[in-house]
Amino acid sequence: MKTLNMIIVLFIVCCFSAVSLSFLYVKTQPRIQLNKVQKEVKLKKQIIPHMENFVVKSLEKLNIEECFDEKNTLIGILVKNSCKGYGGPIEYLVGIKPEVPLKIIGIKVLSHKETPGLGANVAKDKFLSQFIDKVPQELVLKKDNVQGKIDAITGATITSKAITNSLQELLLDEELNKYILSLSKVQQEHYSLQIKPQRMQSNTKKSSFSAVLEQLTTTYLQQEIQPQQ
Amino acid sequence: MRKIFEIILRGILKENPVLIMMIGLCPFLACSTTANDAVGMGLAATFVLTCSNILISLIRRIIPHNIRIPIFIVVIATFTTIVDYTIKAYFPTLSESLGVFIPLIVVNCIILARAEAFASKNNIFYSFVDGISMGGGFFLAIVILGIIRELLGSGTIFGSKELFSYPAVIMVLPPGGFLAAGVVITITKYIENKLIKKTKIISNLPSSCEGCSLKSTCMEFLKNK
Amino acid sequence: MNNISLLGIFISSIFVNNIILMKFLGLCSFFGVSNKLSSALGMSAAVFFVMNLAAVVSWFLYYFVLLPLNLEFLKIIVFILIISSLVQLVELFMKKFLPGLFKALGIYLPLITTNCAILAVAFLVVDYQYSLLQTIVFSSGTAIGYTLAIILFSSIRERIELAPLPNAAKGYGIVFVTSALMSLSFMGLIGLFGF
Repeated sequence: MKTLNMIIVLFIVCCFSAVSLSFLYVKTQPRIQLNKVQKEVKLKKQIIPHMENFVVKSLEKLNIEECFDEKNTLIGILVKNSCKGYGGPIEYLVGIKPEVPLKIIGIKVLSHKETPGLGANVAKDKFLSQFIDKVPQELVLKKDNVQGKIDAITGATITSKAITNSLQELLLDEELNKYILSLSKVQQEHYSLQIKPQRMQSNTKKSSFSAVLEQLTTTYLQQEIQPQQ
Repeated sequence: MRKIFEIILRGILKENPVLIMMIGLCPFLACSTTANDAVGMGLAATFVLTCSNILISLIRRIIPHNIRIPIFIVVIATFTTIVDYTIKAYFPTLSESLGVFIPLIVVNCIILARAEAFASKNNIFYSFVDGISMGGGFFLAIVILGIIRELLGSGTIFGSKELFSYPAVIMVLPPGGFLAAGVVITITKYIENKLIKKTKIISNLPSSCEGCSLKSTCMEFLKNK
Repeated sequence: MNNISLLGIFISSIFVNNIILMKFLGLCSFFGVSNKLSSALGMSAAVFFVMNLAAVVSWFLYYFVLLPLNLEFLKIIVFILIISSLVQLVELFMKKFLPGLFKALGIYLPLITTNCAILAVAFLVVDYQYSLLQTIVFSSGTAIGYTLAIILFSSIRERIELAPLPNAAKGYGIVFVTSALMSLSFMGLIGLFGF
């Protein structure tokens, strides 16, 4: 009788906790997913400020996003890439000018596992802004090469070197260079008419960025909620 | 009324879980690199502690004595998961910086110790006050350490502008955490010695057992041996 | 799955990301049992054993039960319950079949349930998306790192006992400052073999 009592009480407590947690999970999960999407959209906007809409293209090795402003002219290419840092992979998002030689418009770090206080400074704009508007040959650490124009993060040479090398490699990437060269040969207007980028916004009154965000949110929520119903 | 006052005083000063009892050290050191993280961790742990105290006190009469520890663990783990998902959903940046330490609240000895030593023996109201005051003691300690480390290590307070250039980066790194904690603990002990005339001599091993919920188990084991 | 080399995981979990001195996990037991070399040895042997077992069991549980059933939100409850019942089981098993070993390690086993290093390894293995082989290498590396730190520290601490100190710094104050110096020396290993 005593054992049975014990089993029953433990079982009831576990049931209660499982039920309340699954309720919580269903409530919070869409928001957690949404946070991820929102964060990325916000970062994209920070990298290429005048971006209004974009088209996803996949090359052989890379996935890129072509970004257009409100007049439908191509203003930048977004590339998501990662490199092996000191503590683990560093994922970053970089905006590149659509002309040869390739130059960087803006760069943000999406995720990293570097040491807080040292390598973690890799995500700070103070370090990342150094990469903007440099030709690939200049993307070397100052202490490694006379041509280099990048100051390493104090105490985190491995991290700084990893991201600098990875960016240089990306800008010198043959496939990407060929693709962007082909873009600049084609007449810009002609090109944009041909492709017709997906216009995401429908409501003209709202600022279009928030409209994009809202659209993303609703589609995401629908996707998330539907399978559960 | 007097008992309430006593409970509050005990949680925050006399038996401060971190600075005097030396339990819950992992989050104390790991989540105090910035004052904001420290506040987040302090609040999260206080929430779990208070809620589990209330619930355990509520069901203390129906819990069979032999399986009380597993039930405490289930209750604490439930509240920890609630905090984990809520922070993930509403404070994504905080969840990134605290990382694995939010789920680890579940093994924070403070919470299990209070459940065993206090909540399972007292009524709901006293348990609630005890949760708040013990949590408050933890909160106070971790925020003090967080402010010190952030100020010295990054030259900011609560993520403000840099107050001075060239901060001592070592303070936000692991060695700085140990160093700052050592200094804070020494100062606390100095004040304690001054305030309370009779100096308690804390021997090395048993003081970490004092608040530990498994102390009775260990004692039993030693006796049988 | 993650494609970090096994040697990399092993070395970084012992030295560079030492679980006690660099990640602040398992501190309660670190300060609690490091005052004598013999108890430090007993504790670290028990940790080595349980940590490997717990990491592997929770890996299987996560990938073969929780993920397929879409129940990953029960991760915290399931892991802590499994680890604590595992410890009980090991204790019973040892008492019956390995009484010699039980006499040496017995006292440390119940303490391990609330050792956050064990639970943290279970969470980290899932977080880092390690494969089974990587999990084993990571958990044994972490346990060796734990052993290394705790044994070195207990030797230092036996000397500290003899040092003349101001009253307030006695006990935990000086112990923390000493571990700061140890942690500093482990930080010097950053970049070891390029990890």
